[in-house]
Amino acid sequence: MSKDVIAKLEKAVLDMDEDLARASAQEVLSHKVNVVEAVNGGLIKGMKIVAEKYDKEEIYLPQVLASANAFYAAFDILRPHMLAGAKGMGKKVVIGVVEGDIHDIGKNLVKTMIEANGFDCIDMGRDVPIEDFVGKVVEAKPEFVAMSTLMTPTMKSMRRIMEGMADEGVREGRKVLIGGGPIDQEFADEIGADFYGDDEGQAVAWLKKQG
Amino acid sequence: MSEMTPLERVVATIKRETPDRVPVILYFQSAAQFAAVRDDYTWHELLSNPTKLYKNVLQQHEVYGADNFFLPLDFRVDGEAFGSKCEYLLKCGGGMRMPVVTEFAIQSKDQIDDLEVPDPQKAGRCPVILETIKKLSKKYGNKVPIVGFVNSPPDVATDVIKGHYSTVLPMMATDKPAMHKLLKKIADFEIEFGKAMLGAGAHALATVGGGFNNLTIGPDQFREFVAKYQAQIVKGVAAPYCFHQCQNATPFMEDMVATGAGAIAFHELVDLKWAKEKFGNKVILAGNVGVSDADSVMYNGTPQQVEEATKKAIEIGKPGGMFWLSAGCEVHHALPEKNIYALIQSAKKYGKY
Repeated sequence: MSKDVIAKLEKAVLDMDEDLARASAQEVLSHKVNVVEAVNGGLIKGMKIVAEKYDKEEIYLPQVLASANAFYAAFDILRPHMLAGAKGMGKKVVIGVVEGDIHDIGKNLVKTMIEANGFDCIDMGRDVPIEDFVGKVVEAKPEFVAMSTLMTPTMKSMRRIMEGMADEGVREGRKVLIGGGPIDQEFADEIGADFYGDDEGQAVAWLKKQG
Repeated sequence: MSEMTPLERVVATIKRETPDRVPVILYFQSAAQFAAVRDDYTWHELLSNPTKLYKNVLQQHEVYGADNFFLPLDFRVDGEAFGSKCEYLLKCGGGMRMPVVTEFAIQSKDQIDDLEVPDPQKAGRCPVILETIKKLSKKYGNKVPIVGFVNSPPDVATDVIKGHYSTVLPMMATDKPAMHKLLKKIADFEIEFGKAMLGAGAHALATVGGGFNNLTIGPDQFREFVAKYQAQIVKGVAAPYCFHQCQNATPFMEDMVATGAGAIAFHELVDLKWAKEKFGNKVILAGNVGVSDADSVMYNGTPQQVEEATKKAIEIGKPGGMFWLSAGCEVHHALPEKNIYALIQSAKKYGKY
């Protein structure tokens, strides 16, 4: 039973089937299947396959986001039942698209993969005012801050968030990663960010390496 | 050869004749901010008032020296026509901000059937655009090409349905019938809006494939959800039409050309030499001096470097004609203004036939 329902979760993610994902998550609970095993062996396994297919350009963002929707349809049901200590690294990441930019596809993708790997994401959304971004870092004291932008003009917002964090005394003690079309590691170095990632795979790999 | 008017120059390229020099055709959009600041207009004032918009747009040719006028200046006209609401805020990380959708016309795909195709003579800011085109046509109609902008249907879809890209992208994978129903309605509107702009005095139309690019969709999806509707618009408006695709359009170029658009414009990521060799005798190419990325020459370079890049693009694109010198994407408000001048002046310097 346990194997069947875990396989169904994986299938739901691969088939982009939100209804199957919700039903399978309910089945996990009603049959008292180990929730952590179900998330890892079903949902996360499915998302990893999706990510591999995306890397090989076998599928593109429409399918990836549809799979992510199925992932969350089940994950939102199962998350409250996961044991606190079993949630991967359990570290906090404040993530958002910086002020002036509404392009949040990449951010959502990174967030999904970060959560699938056990980090707690505080999603600030898109076009996040600089003071709100900094304020959330002050309030939540996350281990990591992740910012993205797709546009050249709004790169400046990243710099201002870095300055805001320094002004508020919360730059120390946390690491900052950035991503997005127009930027690179050189820009990350220039504004004092710790890491630039090309995609969600690089972001997750770097986060996991930080311990 | 005696100096042509910009209209004669562009028409010559369309007729596959030799103009006096390479035309400079720009998607002059948020760079309108420079003039707006000088005139003390907010974006809302500028985009909502035909007199102010006219005064701003005419500077594309009169002040900067481009061979065309381009409007609307922003991307939200089409979504607003369908009933979405926008905010125009001044505060932004990079300066002034274009309008953003804050209330969507429909909340879910279940409402697509109820969505009416708007009348461009009445809906949203369309009348402002039409009135501005009439003003431009009255003064410049016989000498400077007026290019009306119709946004690409999938991009408009993200402004119409709640959830933006996070709704539209997955819908392409999980509910194609609903996606096509929405895109058909938008394409029908774009045809009517395009015709209305032509009726008001525009000489040509242009579009931008923005968010649906090589970073988000594959070639099959581009063909199914982007190119198909561009082809419908090209056929429906039956006018000179330029199709710009953001990011790296290399995998999509065949499909872009197949839409029947008379001109194809593309980002600096596309190899101009490759494009010229492959498509240069089939369609007018417009490109592609770097403007988008942080290390692009127009954003980060000096005027001298812009001149070098412009000279290089002209050396590749000019032979045989059918080439417009352009930036790789919109001319935007974060560029040093001197680099916009450098691009246009360099084209005049090196573009003579």
